[in-house]
Amino acid sequence: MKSEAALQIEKRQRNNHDEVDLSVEIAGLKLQNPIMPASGCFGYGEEFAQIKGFDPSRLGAIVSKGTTLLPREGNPQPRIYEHKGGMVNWIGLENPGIDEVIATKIPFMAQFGVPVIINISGFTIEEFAHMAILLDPVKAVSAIEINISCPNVEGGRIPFGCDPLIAAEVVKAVREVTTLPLIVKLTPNVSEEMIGQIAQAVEIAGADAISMINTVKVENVGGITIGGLSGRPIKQTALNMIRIVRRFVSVPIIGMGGIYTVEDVVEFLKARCNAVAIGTANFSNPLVMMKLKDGLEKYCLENNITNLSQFHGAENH
Amino acid sequence: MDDFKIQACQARVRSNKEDAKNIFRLELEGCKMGIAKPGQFVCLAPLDHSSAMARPFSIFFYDMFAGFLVIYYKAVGKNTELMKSLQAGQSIKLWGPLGNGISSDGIPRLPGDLHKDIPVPEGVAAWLICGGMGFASLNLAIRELNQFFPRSVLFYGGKTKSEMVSLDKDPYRVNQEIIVATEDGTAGYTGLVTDLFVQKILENPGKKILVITCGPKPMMAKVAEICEGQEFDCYVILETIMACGIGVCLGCSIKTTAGMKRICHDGPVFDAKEVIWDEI
Ligand SMILES: Cc1cc2nc3c(=O)[nH]c(=O)nc-3n(C[C@H](O)[C@H](O)[C@H](O)COP(=O)(O)OP(=O)(O)OC[C@H]3O[C@@H](n4cnc5c(N)ncnc54)[C@H](O)[C@@H]3O)c2cc1C
Ligand SMILES: Cc1cc2nc3c(=O)[nH]c(=O)nc-3n(C[C@H](O)[C@H](O)[C@H](O)COP(=O)(O)O)c2cc1C
Ligand code: FES
Repeated sequence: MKSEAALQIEKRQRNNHDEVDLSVEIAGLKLQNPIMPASGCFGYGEEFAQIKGFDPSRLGAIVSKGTTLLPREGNPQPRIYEHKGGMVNWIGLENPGIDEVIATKIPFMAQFGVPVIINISGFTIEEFAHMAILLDPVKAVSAIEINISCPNVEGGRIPFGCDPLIAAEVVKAVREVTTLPLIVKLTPNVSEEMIGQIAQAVEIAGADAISMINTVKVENVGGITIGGLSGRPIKQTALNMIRIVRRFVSVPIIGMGGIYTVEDVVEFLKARCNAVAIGTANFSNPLVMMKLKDGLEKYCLENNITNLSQFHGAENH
Repeated sequence: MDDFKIQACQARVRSNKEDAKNIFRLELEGCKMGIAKPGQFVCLAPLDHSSAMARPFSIFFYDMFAGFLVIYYKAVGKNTELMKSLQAGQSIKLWGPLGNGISSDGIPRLPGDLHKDIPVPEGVAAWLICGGMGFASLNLAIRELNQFFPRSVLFYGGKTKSEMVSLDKDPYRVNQEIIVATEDGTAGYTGLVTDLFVQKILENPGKKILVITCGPKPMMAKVAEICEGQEFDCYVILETIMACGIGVCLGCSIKTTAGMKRICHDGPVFDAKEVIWDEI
């Protein structure tokens, strides 16, 4: 006969087996679950932390607004417009600059005990590297997300992320100055032929993970000359591009673009994303990320998924 | 009371009635929020499934103990049209209170709370000037200021009488002198509320006045200009299109003489001297 203690252990093992493990590993970071905010849709977490029922420590990671070397005021009004079931934005990277982010924002972000990802935007390759040098010694920073969607002022203002060679140069320059994990955020404003090449180029240049997609370029909408579309209308574009990129790279992918529901999360995971980021959906429901975390757990329990890697390979290619 | 400034709740509709042409009065219950300050607002989750942005509405009246909230809305588009068909008992999602309001009660604020403390000098009168839907933001201000300004006056301007709500009948308005102006003369003074404001200044020479205004941008800009000329303190309650309403998207951020400010988070109440009208 088994001892009481042995029965207890057996029972615990069985329970553990029933529990879902939502954790994922991205760029060497262990995330407790795959849900994180998309850059620019969460500030630095200060406001969300003021909402009852929102607990930043239950997220997989927290991600900062795009940071630039110098403070930026951003663009004049109007900056946003509802469009096609999503929204167009033209914020212009308003942010207090890297020094202030390091001095006050990162310490705030660090208190939740989840990985802190700092999104950086440069207008020259040197600016990206400069910011990485400043972030490298900051203990609270877990990873850098390199936003290569911004215009390259030394390259005819064509975004860095539109050319595989230039995108790779940015990543290489940052890789040389920091050992922090690098997540490279791709712009979808390139052809389907090009996106795979860009992804491959940044992987070779040292990206530890890829995040995609940034907003989709639109022109002359609601008083905004050039803006970025986000939310529901870009979900299909995101999934298409992610499936292409998946064929070209083996690094983890953080998927985003129009994720609102648990079904959307599952769709991105099945497209072989390792994690997902939630942007525009936060605006019409500030508790949506909490809901998605709980909902994903429930979904996995109901569908006998004990580990998120089980989603990979679940989609017909 | 806990420390969270913003609470999300599932509110139940108690009543939803047209009060003036295309302007509705919505009573909600079951809203668990903290104290609401004048100028603060709530966001409603959009009823239209293709809408991506939160829908902000000023708090006309809120009783935090009863969880009872009153807002007035004008049907202008997709969501406000859908709101018209809300029936008693139906529930809607909302969160608040949002933004920094006005306070004049001297109660110490929570850290990070930026509520505009409006000083209350002796012998100063408070004039609240609104146009269009702006009255909805001023009711709480009247309640707050009434302790100090028992003779405060509300100037209420509109295009025509049928598009103006019967404020004097609202059980939750504070007993208050209301002076009405209509552009077509169907009620009260004939002309713009800003002209009425000027006339009243002329009738009260030397009077020290504190002004709070909310309404269409040109109206507020005009009020601010008049106040500047008269050296009156003037506070404006601004509006822009908002996406998040909580301060994270920077969609409502404007340049002011005091730097970049988010209307939803640092405002919507601003000292008129800070506002650069061309930036809104
Ligand atoms: C802080 C704040 C407080 C507000 N308080 C009230 C209030 O108490 N009562 C009230 O009736 N309205 C109020 N508004 C305006 C209200 O939020 C909009 O009318 C509403 O969001 C329109 O939604 P819709 O889907 O019906 O219109 P849409 O179909 O989105 O748009 C219809 C028209 O309304 C305009 N519009 C859309 N959103 C806004 C907006 N946020 N502000 C101004 N115009 C807008 C559009 O430009 C368009 O011309 C407030 C706005 C703010 C920012
Ligand atoms: C208001 C707003 C601001 C954004 N700011 C940034 C930014 O600063 N840096 C960045 O890399 N992406 C930014 N994005 C893009 C989002 O991070 C995300 O890639 C995109 O919105 C798609 O996801 P969604 O459909 O869930 O919003 C922003 C998006 C929005 C809507
Ligand atoms: S509406 Fe998002 S910051 Fe004000």
